[in-house]
This record gives sequence, C-alpha cells and structure tokens, in this order.
Amino acid sequence: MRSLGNEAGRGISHWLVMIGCLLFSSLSLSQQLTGALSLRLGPGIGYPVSIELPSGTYIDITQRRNTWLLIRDERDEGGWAKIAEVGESGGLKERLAWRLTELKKESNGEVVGRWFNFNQGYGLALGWKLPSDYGHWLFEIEKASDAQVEWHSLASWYLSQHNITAHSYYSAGMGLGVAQENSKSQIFSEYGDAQQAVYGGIELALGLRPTKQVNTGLSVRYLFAASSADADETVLSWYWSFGI
Amino acid sequence: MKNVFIVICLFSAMSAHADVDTLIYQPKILSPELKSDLDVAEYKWLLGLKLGQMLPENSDSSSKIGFSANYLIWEQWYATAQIDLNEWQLTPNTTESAIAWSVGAGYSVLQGAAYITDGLTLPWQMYAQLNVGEQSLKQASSTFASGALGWQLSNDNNYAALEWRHFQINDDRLKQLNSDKGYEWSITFGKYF
Repeated sequence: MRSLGNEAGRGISHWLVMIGCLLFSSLSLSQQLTGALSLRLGPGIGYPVSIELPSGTYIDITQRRNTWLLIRDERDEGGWAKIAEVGESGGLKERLAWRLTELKKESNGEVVGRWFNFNQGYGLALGWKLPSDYGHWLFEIEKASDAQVEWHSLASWYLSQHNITAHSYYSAGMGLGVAQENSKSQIFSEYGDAQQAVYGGIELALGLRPTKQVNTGLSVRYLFAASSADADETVLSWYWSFGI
Repeated sequence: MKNVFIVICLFSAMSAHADVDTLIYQPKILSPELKSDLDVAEYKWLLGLKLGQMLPENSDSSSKIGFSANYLIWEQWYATAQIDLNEWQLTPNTTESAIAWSVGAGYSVLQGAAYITDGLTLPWQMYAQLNVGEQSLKQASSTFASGALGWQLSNDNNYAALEWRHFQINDDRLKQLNSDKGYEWSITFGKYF
C-alpha cells in the first residue's frame, strides 16, 4: 500500500513540475548571455550607456519599442539595447525554423491622409487605398479653404507602384474626379463664378515605407478640367502623404 | 481631349511594364535580428493629456487643454495627431471656444540623462514637430499650421513633456485683429502603450 501511495505521489509531483515548467517557460523570455551587453538609459543611440552586463548574466526581455528591447538582469537592473546587439550577445534564443512567408499578403488597404498645396492655398485630403493586381485604387475626399477660397473634391485614382529599395518606392497613375469651388476660387473657374468641374489628372510619387504598416511620400499632380468654359484649365498641386 | 489621350497612352505604357509577382510563398529562415514574432510586449503609442496657455499676437493670453497621440514609426521618427480645445480672448469681456485638430510628424533631436536623486536617473529627449490641421472658431473653420520644440522626461512607461509651439491660423477674424499667429506653451502627461 505504501509503495502504491509513493508512486501516486511521485506521479502527481512529476505532473506538477511539468505543468510548472510549461507555465513559466511561456511567461518569461529569460536567456543567458554568451557575450557582454551594454544597456542604455533609453531606446536610442543618443542615450548614455547606464550598465554593462557581463557574459553569463541571465536576462529577461520585458518590452520592445521598434528595434529596441528593454532588458532586466537578475538584480532587476535594466536598460535598453538594440535587437541586433542582444542577438549578438546571445540574448535571443537562436530559433532556426522554416516557415511559409507570404510575399503577396491579402490586405484591406490603408487610410491615407494628405496635405496639399496649389496656387490658391493648401488643404487636406483623406483617402482609402485598396490594393489591386498591378497597383492601388485610391478613393479620396479633398478640402481646401484659404481666407475666402473653398474647394471640395471627390476623386478616384489608379496608381501603379514599384519598389526602388526594400523601404522606398515610386508610383505613377491617373485619376478622375469632381470638384466644387466657390465664387472666390479661381482653380478651374474665373473669379466670381462658382462652379462644379469634372477633372482628370496624372500623378507621380516618391515614397518611403519604413515599416510594413506605414508609408509617407511626396507626390505631384497635374489636373485638367474637362468642363471648364474659358478659365484656367490646368492645375499643378503638391502633396505630402501619410498612410497607415 | 488631347490631354486625356496623352494620359491614357502614358498609363497603358506604364501598366504594360508592371512586374507580376508569380511567387506567392517562399521558405524563410528566422534569424534573431529579423524575427518579427519576438514574444515581447511592444509599446508604440504615446497617449497624453495637455494643459497650456496660448499667447497670440495683439491679443490676451488664454488657456487650452488637449489630447495628443503619437505613434513611433522608425528610429527617432514618429507621427502625431492632436486635438485641442482653445479659449480665445478676442474682446476684453468675452471668450470663444475653438476646437483645433492637427496631424503631423516629429523627430527626436537630442537624447540625454537627467540625474534626479541617488539611484534615479531618468532619460530625456528633445523633439521637433510640425503639424497641419484645422481650427473651428465660431462656426468658421480655417487651416492651421504649427511647429514645436519640446522636452520630454520619461520614467518606465510614463512621460511628461514641456513644449513651446509657434502657430499660424488662416482665419479672417483673427487676421483683422492681427492675432492669426503667436506662441503657446503646454505641459503634457502621458503614457506609452
């Protein structure tokens, strides 16, 4: 009877140890350094080095801000280090694994905000960019208001985008839109003549994509009105955009 | 019609040279540097509450409160969105409330360490920021642009920032009073998320 009780006890303790190991291994990202690691006071190379951890120190990684990790040692002293430096010092578990990576990822598109400038002032635009086979569709609302000038526009653009480097791209495209301007505005109409105009245009853009989630760029648009009677028929406008 | 024809020609030439990605999946080795699924909590947002004072030209100073949201993009760069409630003292006896929203970008110019007490040294950073947006004052909305310099002190995931900002507003009434530009200072308390 005693031996049976001992076996049952050993079995239970064995399972408890197993569960404990599983639980704690998933909660903590602890690792022993194989080289020295300098920690900075903040997440940037401008911050001074606050502590240098020797090889063999056990560390915990508690937080990440972009390419920086917050590291704490066994005495709970901490600081920031670049992911690459933590990896070089053996602070990240080497995990060679094969996985399938999507090159063409399904996306719901991105929200794009733009600040633009043309001969009659500047304004803001908000759009939705949807990926398609060879580029993107952009549906956009624009609003510009100077002291007296009012301009509203609704447009649809098709932009073909190509990568220059891993983090930069250029794009070109064309669009169609309708605009409403007031009597003080002389974008597609004469002064004193409020009107609606249907316009077409082309766009060239250069952009940066520092991470997968965000992009920013500069673009130039050349617009021409199809229904303008005798006023200026073309407009050149500059845009700074931010998409997320 | 000539313009439309040129655009269609340009665009069809451009589409004809567009690259087609036929490879959809490819195997990849995860190295520690490239590993994006590092199992660590990531903090990329700063949300803060702002209190301050506006100092427009040729007009009395007035108080302001606001809310700011910053998103860390890459290295020292971040995107920012702000919404402020400004009190304008345009006549001696009356104040008018205005809501101003803006979006922009900022850069952390300098970083350093502030010695507080023995064993407590906190990181600080100086940042520069540009914003564009709109202000609604008495049902008239006008474009708004500003540039700021600020100093931020942080402790763990909390921060406090002191900011000095120059603004310009394209508002008819403010232009008539020569108060369409000026300075403002503010203090922000916030948290990293």
